[in-house]
Amino acid sequence: MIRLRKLTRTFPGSGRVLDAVDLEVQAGDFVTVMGPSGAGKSTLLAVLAMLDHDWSGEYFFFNEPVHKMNGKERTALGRKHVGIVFQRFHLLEDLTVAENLEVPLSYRDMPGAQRKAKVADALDRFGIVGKKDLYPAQLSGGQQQLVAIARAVIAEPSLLLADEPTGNLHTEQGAEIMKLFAQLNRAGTTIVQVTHSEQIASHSRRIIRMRDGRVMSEGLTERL
Amino acid sequence: MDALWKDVRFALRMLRRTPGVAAAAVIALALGIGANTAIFSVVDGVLLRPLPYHDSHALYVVKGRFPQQQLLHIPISVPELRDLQESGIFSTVGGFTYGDTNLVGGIGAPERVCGAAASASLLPTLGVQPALGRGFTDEEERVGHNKVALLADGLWRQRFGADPAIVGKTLVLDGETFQIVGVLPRGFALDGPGATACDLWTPLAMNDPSFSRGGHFLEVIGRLKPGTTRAQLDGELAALGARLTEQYAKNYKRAGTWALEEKPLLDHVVGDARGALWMLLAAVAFVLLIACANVANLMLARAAGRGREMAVRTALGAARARLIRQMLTESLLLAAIGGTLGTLLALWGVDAMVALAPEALPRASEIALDGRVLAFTIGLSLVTGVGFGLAPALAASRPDLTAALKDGSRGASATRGRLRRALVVAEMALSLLLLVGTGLMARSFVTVRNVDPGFRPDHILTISASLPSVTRDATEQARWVSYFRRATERLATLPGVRAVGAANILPLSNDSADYTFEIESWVPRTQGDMPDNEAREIAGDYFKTLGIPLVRGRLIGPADDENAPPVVVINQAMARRWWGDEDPIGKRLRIGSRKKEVPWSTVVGIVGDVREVGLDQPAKAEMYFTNAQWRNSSSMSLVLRTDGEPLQLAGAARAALAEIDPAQPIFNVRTMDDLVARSLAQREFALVLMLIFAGVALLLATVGIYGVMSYTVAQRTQEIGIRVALGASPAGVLRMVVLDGMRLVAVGLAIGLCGAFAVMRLLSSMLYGVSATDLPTFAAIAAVLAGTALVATIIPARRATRVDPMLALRAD
Repeated sequence: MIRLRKLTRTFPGSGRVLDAVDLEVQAGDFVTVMGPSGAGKSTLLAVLAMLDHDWSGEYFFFNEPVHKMNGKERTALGRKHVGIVFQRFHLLEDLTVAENLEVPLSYRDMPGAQRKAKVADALDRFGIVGKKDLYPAQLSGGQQQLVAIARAVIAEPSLLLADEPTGNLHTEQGAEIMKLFAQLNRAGTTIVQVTHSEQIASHSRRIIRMRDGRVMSEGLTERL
Repeated sequence: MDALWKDVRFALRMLRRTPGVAAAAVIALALGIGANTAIFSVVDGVLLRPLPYHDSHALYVVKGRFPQQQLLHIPISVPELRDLQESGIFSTVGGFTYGDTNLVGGIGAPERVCGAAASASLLPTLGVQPALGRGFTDEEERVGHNKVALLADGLWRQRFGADPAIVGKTLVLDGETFQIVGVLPRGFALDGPGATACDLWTPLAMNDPSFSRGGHFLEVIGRLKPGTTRAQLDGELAALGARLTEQYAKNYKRAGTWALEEKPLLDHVVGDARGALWMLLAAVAFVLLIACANVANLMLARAAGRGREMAVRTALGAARARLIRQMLTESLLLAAIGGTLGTLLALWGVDAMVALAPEALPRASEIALDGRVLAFTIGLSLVTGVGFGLAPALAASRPDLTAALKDGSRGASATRGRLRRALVVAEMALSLLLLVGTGLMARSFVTVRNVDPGFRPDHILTISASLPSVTRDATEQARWVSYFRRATERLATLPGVRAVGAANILPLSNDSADYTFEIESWVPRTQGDMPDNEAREIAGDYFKTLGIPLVRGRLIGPADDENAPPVVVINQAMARRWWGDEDPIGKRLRIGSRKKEVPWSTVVGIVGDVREVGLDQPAKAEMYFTNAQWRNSSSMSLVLRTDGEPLQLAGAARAALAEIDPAQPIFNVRTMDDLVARSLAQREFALVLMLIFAGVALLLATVGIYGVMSYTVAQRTQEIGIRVALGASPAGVLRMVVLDGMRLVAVGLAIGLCGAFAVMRLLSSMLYGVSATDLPTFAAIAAVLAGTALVATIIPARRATRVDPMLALRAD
């Protein structure tokens, strides 16, 4: 599904944040990217999400050469296939839960009736029907992340990217989120997550360790 | 459509979330859009809307001139109107003249009404059909056949109860019976500088032998033939003028070439108002630009706080255009709310302006907030919404994704900061331009107001009377003289009255009467140099009453009656013009040189110059005859110099005049100060509006700079904390922030001053006694703006001095 060849990203004043990264992710995979602060994990995620365009090297997504596309084409491809979960949830504070879920659908030329149906389905699937008219400030951290995940997958992306998805949650909430991720992965969604926690990483199948912008090692997860 | 509706709902929610910001933006927009709507409604009603006649663009006013005499815009005589009609230059051409008349008939006591005599061709020329009955026929343009009348709609309703069977009924005008043949449409009025809405119209007796070629008193309007250009019209009129000069050489020779000139009827009606109105429209455009800059700054500040939201929306798949559309929806919503409130403000403003509008504002009855103006407002609101919303939308639609999403930072950017500062500079520059223009107008107004008019207008009561003028024979003339003699004598006996006089035309009454005349033994300096200047007919102690000083010789007195040798008093301007350094006392002149029986009048005195036309116009050459000897005017205005408030004597004066002739109506009971004020009314009206707009602009600009400096201080809190921690004193912090703000102000003022030097020349024609590049005015305005901006900067600067360094350094 994803193939990176010598992918390099440089920030002025910071040097190479990603340094000739080679990486492959298969469809249906559940991958964790780990490493210390400044390793380039979040930048890697931004590149995979096609939100960051100032990189060099090769990036193939479903065999499509992303490195040869212009910004508009990349954004369109990302919109079609990628969902993102953030550490700080990043729900839109002035929208209700249902409205937050609808936002990505509204950017995908979907008729209103169809959007409403998908939102209803997502609310039911994630067990948050009773919260649909609440605002993010009225939810707990775990509930907010739940909504964020629902928002990320409502458009049925092929790839779910999660940047420290349990970073702002306590252990029990984190465990619930990982259970959800496992369900999504079993249902066919490819997941790439970034985390510091070995515990969280253990829920995935592969771990890629990075340091100073480079991939240091890859391997299957040892279940803890 | 669904997505748009969602954007609107979200925008409403965002506005509710920050009510203070929304209110500030809406108020600024309401002021800007409201002012533009109000002034545009005036501009539209006066300048842009076609006159209420069929194809009014084809209507032209025709006037005459004697170029060698520099006598321009002279009315047309009856024979000259016939010449125009016979020439075929116009498809139709008609003429008219105003003349008050005493009306008896209908409901109420006899009253003096505004009448007009018009050729039968006038209404067809204008394309106007009477609402009831018919217009005049060609037959009715003949002496003895012209005792018919058309009523104005207002008179028909007020005086005749809107009687639907009015046609065929009669009324009495100046003692003669006229048959009513029709009623004019509602709102019909021939506007123009000095025009009044007439109450009734009678036919002009075109074959009256007393209407000579030299009797220039008609206003003439012609309808251009289809396909004729204005250049062709000018050529044809020039040819006609040349032909008439040659054909009637004995009438025109002494005065030089007789020429004809034309002006579109709309230009004639609008007169001097055009320049002032465009200036006001420019002023409110400036106010709107300043308001837009203010609101744009508010939007930029809001956008800075929504960086994370924009980054999330982008991450969720929003294209840049989509984000721009969302932001613009918010801007357009603000503009729509501001525009709606502005329209309400404009409704009130237009009503106030029309109520306060000086008589000199033409077409005031056509000023209204109608569909056209509303369409303008809607369009303006849209443009405004895009204008102030686009830059913030463009800035917000390019979020720094990584920074915003990674650490939740609000995403303030250097670009937005520069844009905000640029907007403040623009506000300062625009405010300076508007304030300088207003300052120049104000100085000009004060200068005009302080001009010595040549007489003393204080404590003067004026009353007008217009006696019947039918035959104009010796009997009638004697009646005029007798009435005004008895009137002046009787009024002089009233307690509190110091002096009484009368004149056919008062100073600053927007009227004039010039005559060609002959000076005995005078040799023309150049061919065609025929004496011609203003002439007045006076009675009683006119000069003493008005305080016009005697310079040399003597004034006209009671001994100068119909049996005494004819005398004339001239003013200094006339003495200079026709006699130069020579003493004119004892010289002789006579009006109407063709008539050998007119006796010579001896110049017995020279009086001071009076600014008859306007305080901002130089005095014209004038000569004064006593009505006892000249006997030309049936209408005169009495002037009373009073000890106390003039209007307090109005009742006693009316009673005194009623003793002389109870059936003689009087009108225009007002003070001379009122006449002076009316002469300044248009200038004052424009100035008051400019002051209001300048005040609003100053307020908006001050709020704008305050907002930017407050925001800058908030953004620099951490930096200020570090500086204080490193040893900066409160005074140093204050100086740093104030200098930062005043740098913006200085750049704005510099740009504004350069612009003012270039642009203010356009105001030159509206200024009096002050140059368009008057340095003291420029400097004073710049100082006022700088001072106000300094206050607006010091308040947030003082806040900066109170930053706790430890709190500032801990804050994210």
